[in-house]
Amino acid sequence: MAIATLDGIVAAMAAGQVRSWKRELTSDTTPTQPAFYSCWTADGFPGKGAAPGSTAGAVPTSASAGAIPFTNPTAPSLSYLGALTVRYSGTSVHTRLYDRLVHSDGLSGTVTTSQTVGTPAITRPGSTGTNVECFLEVYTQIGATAQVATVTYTNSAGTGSRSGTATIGGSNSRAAGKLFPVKLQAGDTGVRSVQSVQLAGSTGTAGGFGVTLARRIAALTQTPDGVGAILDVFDAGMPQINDDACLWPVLLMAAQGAPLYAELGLTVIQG
Amino acid sequence: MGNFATVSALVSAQPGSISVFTRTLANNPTTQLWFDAMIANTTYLGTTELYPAAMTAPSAVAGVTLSNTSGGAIDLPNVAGGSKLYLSRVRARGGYDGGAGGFYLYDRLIHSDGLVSNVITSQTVNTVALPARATGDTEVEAFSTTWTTGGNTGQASDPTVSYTNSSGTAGRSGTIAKEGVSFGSFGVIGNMAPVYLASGDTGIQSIQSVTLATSSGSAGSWGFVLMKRLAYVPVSQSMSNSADWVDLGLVEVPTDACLSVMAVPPQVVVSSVYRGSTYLLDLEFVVG
Repeated sequence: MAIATLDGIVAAMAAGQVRSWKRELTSDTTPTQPAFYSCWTADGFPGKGAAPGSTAGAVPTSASAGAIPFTNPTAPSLSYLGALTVRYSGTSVHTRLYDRLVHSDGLSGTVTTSQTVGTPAITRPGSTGTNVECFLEVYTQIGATAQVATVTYTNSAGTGSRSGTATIGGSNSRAAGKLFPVKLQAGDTGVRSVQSVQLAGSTGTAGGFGVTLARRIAALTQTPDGVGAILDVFDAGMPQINDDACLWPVLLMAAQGAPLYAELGLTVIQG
Repeated sequence: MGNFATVSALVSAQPGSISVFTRTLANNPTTQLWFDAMIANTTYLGTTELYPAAMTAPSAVAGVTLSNTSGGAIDLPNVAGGSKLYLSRVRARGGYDGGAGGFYLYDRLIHSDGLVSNVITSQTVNTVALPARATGDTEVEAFSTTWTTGGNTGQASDPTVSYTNSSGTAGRSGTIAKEGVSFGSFGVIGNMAPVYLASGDTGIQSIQSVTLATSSGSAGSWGFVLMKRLAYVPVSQSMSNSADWVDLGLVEVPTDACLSVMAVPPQVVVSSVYRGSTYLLDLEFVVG
């Protein structure tokens, strides 16, 4: 069953699960160019997440520390994003709400040979990797020398040995929480799994980073300083939230300014 | 479960009943941080256009539970048995100067005071039990709030809070977010800062103690507010904004909620009370 009518939306909203999320941004939040920031291990409410603890990775869920929690509906009902609000201190911030599907860590910023990853299978629907984005995520600060990382992955069609790239490290681009989108090989639209990562050179500091696979649910931009924004159920397009989804906000911050905190509210509706 | 099953039922419940909330700023508190718009505050809130009346300090370190009948709570319409109350619209106007960030609406469950800001040893809190409407709730948040002016020396690091999480596990360790250098303004009545939780926790059941990192320089009086978030309405400087039931997610308001407001204040200090720095909120409710 699914929500198929306006009546269904109203009934679901009247029983929505309202959630609050806050994060304090303490890493180098003064990027010299627009930069992505993962709030996974930042202090906040609910409590922060932890580094996944293995190079091979793990599958986070709504029950994982760091996720925005929600209760799965009773089958055959489904969950949808019913409303989303964002607000930050400081300058314009673009927010993306993801389902964090797979994450890993333990990669070194100084090793220039191929580092094996071998991510586990995606468990949520769409497990082939359609529209799944790939990031490199820093858990422990890496070095100040920017390097190109080549990511070997299997695409959503099941073809292995595909090659993507991301530039990681460098001044203002190396602290814990930094997130680097991986550019896919021409023709690819999603990532099913990642096999290895190889740096073109040392960043100068080993630190620790990993691979994160995620599927986007919604996006919203706060424009004037300090004034938030609302995305309602219709503007959002009523995107579905899979059972057990690990709801994970990602921030794309402007080139200037340093938000001190991020705050988000969302409503999960079901029917 | 919610009580509205159809669009027709929601339309039939319109127009709802309206409650108002008004505060006039005399001086602006710390920019861009959360501000307690409910408490008595002659320094930062004017004495005119103050509706409902300001809340008074509970004079209890352990705090008191709050409801819709508590002094200073926003009026809620009566709801007959079996029906539920929903927030269907908020019309808001921000302050004059700077970039107001908007307003948070929440159910204020418990508030406390009597903590001082000039000692760095552990201070016992032991908050009272959550009211019945929040018993077993896994999403209760906590904020600090300043009732009486303390010192202005900021915290060198985030103060630590010992709490019991929503699963009933005691001895959990969280922090009061000092928000860079801005928190620690115990010299600003009404400044609020969120309590950040230990990894794996989703909510707070009670607070046992707190330890500051730095003396503010003067005792003052501060405490905690335990709350449940309901909605956020963004508002720009000198602008109005209206959020309808779709924007608000048709959020349910517990019938005995102590409905309260946190403001994100303007940026520029003003020196006197004037109409241009007035917060105005019209809150519209429907019963279904």
